[in-house]
Amino acid sequence: MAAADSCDGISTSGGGWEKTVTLVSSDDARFEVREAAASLSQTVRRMIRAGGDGGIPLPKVDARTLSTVLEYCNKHAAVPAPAPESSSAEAAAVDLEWFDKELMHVDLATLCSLIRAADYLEVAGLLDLTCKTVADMIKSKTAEEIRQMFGIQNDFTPEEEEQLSRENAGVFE
Amino acid sequence: MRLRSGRHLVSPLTVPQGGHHHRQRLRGSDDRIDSLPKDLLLQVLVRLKHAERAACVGAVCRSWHGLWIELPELTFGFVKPRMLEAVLAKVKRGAQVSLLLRAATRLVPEKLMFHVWNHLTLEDDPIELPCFDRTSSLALEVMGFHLLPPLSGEFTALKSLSLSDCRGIDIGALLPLCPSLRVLNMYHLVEVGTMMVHSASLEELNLETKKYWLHPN
Repeated sequence: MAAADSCDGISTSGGGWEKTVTLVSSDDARFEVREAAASLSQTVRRMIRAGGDGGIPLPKVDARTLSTVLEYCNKHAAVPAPAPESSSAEAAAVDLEWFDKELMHVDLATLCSLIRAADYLEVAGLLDLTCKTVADMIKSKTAEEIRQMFGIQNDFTPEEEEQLSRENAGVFE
Repeated sequence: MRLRSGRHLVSPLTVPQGGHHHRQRLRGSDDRIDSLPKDLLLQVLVRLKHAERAACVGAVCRSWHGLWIELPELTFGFVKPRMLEAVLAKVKRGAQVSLLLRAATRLVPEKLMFHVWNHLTLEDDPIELPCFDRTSSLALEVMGFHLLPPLSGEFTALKSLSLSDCRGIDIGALLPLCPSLRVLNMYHLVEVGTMMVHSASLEELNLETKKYWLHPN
């Protein structure tokens, strides 16, 4: 049966049955994930529909990154949809916000891998979260501070640099 | 937890089954922010909210320089009005007029005269008129541009409106958005077809047409 190995299931605590899928990272780690969570990735969703054997291969995401992406997906897919403006909706939103904040406590290399993974896997919420995190890191910093933070080489000539600061000062002061 | 497939699963659900799980990531070139492809860097820049912040980030390195002009939307928060032209000159897409008008709304002008001729790149896309809700006098001379009424908002304070040389403006859709309008001047409008003027407040209407371009009804 097509997709037999990439689509299994688990019994839930409520006695129900929930479908799972197997995702395979670039370094051959296999992850069993609830289909509802995995489907937050549009890329995975399309591959589930297409079917296939032996799990869904994700050759651009390593196990460490995929594990974090799936942590995000599990959390966000688990949130039930309470009535808007109810106190439980507010509590759920606060909880998610706290979770997202905690998830972004990672080093720069990981953050960068997460941006690439969120883009490749098309997890819109995670792409927004990771890009916003980087934007927040740079928004009140000077060019030199940004270079130091990210270890970026200044490849402008001194003349070009002078011209740039003149331009920016003139326009944006 | 036992899976239907017979495999065991350790909680939480996402623990990998085998493979190499590096605790300490070795930094490769792909792990660096400056190695991100352009479209992803733009995703970051767009979240800086203001175009001038994104432009300042361009001073970090060559590959980031000038990226901001490709932002899908430019919002200027603190730019000096007199320097807008210099900023807009850097925008390569044909969106200068829309940007300039949007920027003008931020100044909340009491009176605005807006003239655009061919020295800026002409764009074929229609320009959506932003809402000047506190402006009492508005004169728009936008040679060759197709103007659309704003999607939301009203020109609450507008008493005098002059439109010159613009294409295809829908007066019937614009007038209901101007509840206080007393004077309406329309000069050399193009591609307007039949025009219906309904206004409870209007006291003066001046219309000047060019031959063959407009047939007042």
